[in-house]
Amino acid sequence: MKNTAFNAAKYLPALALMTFATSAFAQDAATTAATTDSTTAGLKAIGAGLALGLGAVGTGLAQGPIGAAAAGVVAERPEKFGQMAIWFFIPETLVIFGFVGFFLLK
Amino acid sequence: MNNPYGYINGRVRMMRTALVESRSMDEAAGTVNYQEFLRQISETPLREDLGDATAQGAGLGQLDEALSRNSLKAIQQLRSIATGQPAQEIEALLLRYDLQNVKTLVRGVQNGRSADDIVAGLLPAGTIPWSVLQGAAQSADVPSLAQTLSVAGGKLGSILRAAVSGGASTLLDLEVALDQGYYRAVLAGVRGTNVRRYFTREIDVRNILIARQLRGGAPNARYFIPGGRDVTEADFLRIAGGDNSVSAPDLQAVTEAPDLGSAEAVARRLLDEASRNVAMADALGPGVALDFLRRKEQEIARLRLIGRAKFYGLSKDELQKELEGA
Repeated sequence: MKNTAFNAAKYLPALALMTFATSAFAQDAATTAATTDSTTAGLKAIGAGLALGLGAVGTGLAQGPIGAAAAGVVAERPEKFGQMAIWFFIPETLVIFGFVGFFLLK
Repeated sequence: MNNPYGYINGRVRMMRTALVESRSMDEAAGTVNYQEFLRQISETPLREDLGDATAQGAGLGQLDEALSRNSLKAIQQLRSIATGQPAQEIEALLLRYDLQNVKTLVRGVQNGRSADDIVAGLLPAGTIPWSVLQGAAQSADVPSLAQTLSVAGGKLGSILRAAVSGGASTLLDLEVALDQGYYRAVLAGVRGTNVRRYFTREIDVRNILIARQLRGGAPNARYFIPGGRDVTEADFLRIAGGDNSVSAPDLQAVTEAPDLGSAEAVARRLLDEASRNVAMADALGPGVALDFLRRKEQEIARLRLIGRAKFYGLSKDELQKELEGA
């Protein structure tokens, strides 16, 4: 019982701060509406960029060693080109997922 | 980030698929005579190199030449695809052929065999030029052989000369000196942890085999090869003294084999397994090349054995026994 009271007391300052902050934000809602919209748009743009960029980086990292190995295999056996191309293109899915994220956030 | 072994190992893996399959090897071993054996191996990737071996009246000499040609072609191809650091590591792996060739030369010259006989036992691989090996085979004695090899015989030529200058005269003294120099050079030349681990295992096995060879005489630590993992100098002296116990359980079979011949066969199997493991664990390192070289060596050795068995009409059981030891 004592512990529960202690735990609740721990969060009191944070709750108080949130209450004050909420009321302060409510007062300034009209003035900050425009700022919030532009912040949201900015964060979305960053998210879209990260989705596409990280997907592309992941694809590059995966395709590097696969491409090198595939080049080695095709140098010895040109008839394996098709099979190697499939393995090479599989990591492209990462950048496609990135594109999907990019368009969803756009 | 960029690993040069990605490309090299892609090619080596494809080269490995061109090795004679175990099914074809079994079929070759099951043929009724030498002609049938030649016909059988003509259907494998070896056919391009068989040349005179399949001609009318051709014998084992032509077969040996064909197999050596095939082996050399594979090694040259491996050498041609590696550049930079991998090339240095692969050269270090190819030193094993130098070791075999220098040992063959030492044995041949010491036993007074003819130059032609010695050259027939050499492998046209490794880093010592073939013309140097042919010239060295004509040496009258081991000091002159060491002198010839020290000029253009690479690392092992210098090691042999140093051993001869240091007073090594018996075959065991010379062979152990060469082994010590070879493993020192290899461990300095390869960087990959997995490949180094393989070589430390090979050193352990070699130490056990040398210790077993020394049994019955006075054990001497100068025959110990440093660089192993599980067999220390104290273990070496203990095994040479007749004790069979070793700390690594898989090495126990080598110490407990009834005779030296079967101990060597057990050791070969152990090292084959170790090289397969290193090829799997070292996908982006020289382990794949190491395993390929070992498989190629084994393929050629087995085909030589089968060829001889068929040529001299050995029974299936005798051949099977020989192949198990190979």
